[in-house]
Amino acid sequence: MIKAIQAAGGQILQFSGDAVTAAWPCGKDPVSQTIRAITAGLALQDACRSMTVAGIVGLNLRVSLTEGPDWIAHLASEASSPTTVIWGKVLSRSADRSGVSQGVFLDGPLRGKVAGVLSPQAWIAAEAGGIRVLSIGGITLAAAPAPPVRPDQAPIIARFVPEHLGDLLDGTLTDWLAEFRSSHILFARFQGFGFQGEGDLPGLAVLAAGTERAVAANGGLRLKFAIDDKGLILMAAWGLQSRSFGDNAERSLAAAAQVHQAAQIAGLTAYIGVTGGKVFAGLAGSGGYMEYTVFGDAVNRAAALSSGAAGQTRVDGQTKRDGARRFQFVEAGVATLKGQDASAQYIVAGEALGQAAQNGEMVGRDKERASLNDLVARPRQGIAPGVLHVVGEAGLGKSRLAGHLQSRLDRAAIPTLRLNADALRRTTGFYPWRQLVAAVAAADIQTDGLQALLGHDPALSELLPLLSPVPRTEVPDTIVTASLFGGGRAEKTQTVIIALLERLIAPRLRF
Amino acid sequence: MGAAAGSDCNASIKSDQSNIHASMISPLVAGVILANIPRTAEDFAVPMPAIVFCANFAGLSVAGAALADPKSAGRKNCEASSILFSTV
Repeated sequence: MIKAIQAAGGQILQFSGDAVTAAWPCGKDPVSQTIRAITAGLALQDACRSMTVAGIVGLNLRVSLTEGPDWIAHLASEASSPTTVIWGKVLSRSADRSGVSQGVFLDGPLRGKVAGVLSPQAWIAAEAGGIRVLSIGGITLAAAPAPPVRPDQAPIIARFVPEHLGDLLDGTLTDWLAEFRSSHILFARFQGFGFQGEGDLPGLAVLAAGTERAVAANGGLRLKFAIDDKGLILMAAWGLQSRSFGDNAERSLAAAAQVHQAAQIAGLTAYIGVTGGKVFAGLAGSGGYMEYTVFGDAVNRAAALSSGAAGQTRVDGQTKRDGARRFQFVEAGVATLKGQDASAQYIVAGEALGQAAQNGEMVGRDKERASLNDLVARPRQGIAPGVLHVVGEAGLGKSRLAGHLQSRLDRAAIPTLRLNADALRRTTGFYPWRQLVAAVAAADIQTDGLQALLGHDPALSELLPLLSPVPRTEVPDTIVTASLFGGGRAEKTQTVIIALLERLIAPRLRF
Repeated sequence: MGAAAGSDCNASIKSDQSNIHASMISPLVAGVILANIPRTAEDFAVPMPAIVFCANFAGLSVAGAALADPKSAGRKNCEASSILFSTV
């Protein structure tokens, strides 16, 4: 689909579940661009009819067209990483609701512009709200595909990929991102926000930053903040690579409460659904455009539950079970969703009781806690702290012990850094180090910053290029580093990374 | 010579990474970013008059459910419905 749309002069905007949105920028010539889009839509419908899914031949594709104008809003002032929202009422009303998957539907305003120029051979049917073009009648218009991003521009554009997603892409082979994972999905809709231009930017920026903080503070991954056929939506997940915890459900529900607060600050009402289950996570798309996203019943269920949840968070049975330690729920009837068995839904009623239990002292594990307490006490006694491994089967309480360690470190005012590492990331050199450097550096360290920290030491200065894999910067090889390979290069890299961390961390220590 | 080969290899890997990262941004948005590089640290909005094309598959979620679990409600719906799929 992407190739066909691009070949016809269209540009992919986004995926939304099983929908693809694209745009033909029209300027002063909406008619020609409409005809190109109709041609692409009819060709895609033909192609889909020969596809086989779930053993059944023939996949039906509904296609509709409407005219903007749209807005592209770039938000950078409040967010930790820039966010771009493609905005337009047309995005939320463009989905063809008729259920007819033959021909391309054009809404009323577009019909007025195009109907008169279609050839007499075109096959057109009148329909409520517009027309349906079933055949274009032999018209062919040459299309110039939009120029792709040039190789020299790719690094510039890459800087605008959200940091957590960039880390994910860097951290493993992209093929390995495709996997089934037990996750919790938060799907939020925001009612009552219209975007007419730059005057509405502050409100949108506040909402984008507030929701970003809500998800990030609870360890989630914001997958989408966009306009689709459901309006302005937010989708986030817990349980994906680098974003998986023992209390994913509680984290997603805590984030939901903060998203409600962010919406209120922006003068909006949030409708939120949170569900749990196994989803497919991975890259969707190919060639010129891809999204890292999730698919599955849990995603569809979260979206459906959100629709009736004005000012509420509605959850499924799994999220209720997983979050019961910290949150309270009330029953809200049965949800019936297309393609799924009917299931009970619940409304989050509060979290105070569980919060107290969560923050309480840990019970048991006396020997292990003593080891952790000893580790925390050592620096003040002038003893090197050393390394402590917590190893155990899933569910035995490793995360709870780590939480205990964190609370002791906080109490002792010892700064902490956290990083994720797993077997998959063994393929990426220095991946854990990259997280450490990113955590202690106030921002991405550029070459000037590295020179300022390490340049005064000649032995380290000539090794600076070895840091290139760690901070996101490119330092050209020196004569010394160009001659280093294999184990020798790795050893020297470790040396210079440790020196960098010492200089970054030392000013923060207060022993 | 070895050093040069190593550098080429690193450059190639970095280029591939940049391409993957860049492909995560809509080409239309990428064009707007490139045209507004001096403004990218601030908030801005640009109008984008366009013909908007929305294509959505009918019954894909039901087919997915059927594929994942032949005994699911999705499979039943799939078999019961002639609207979702056709062999035309």
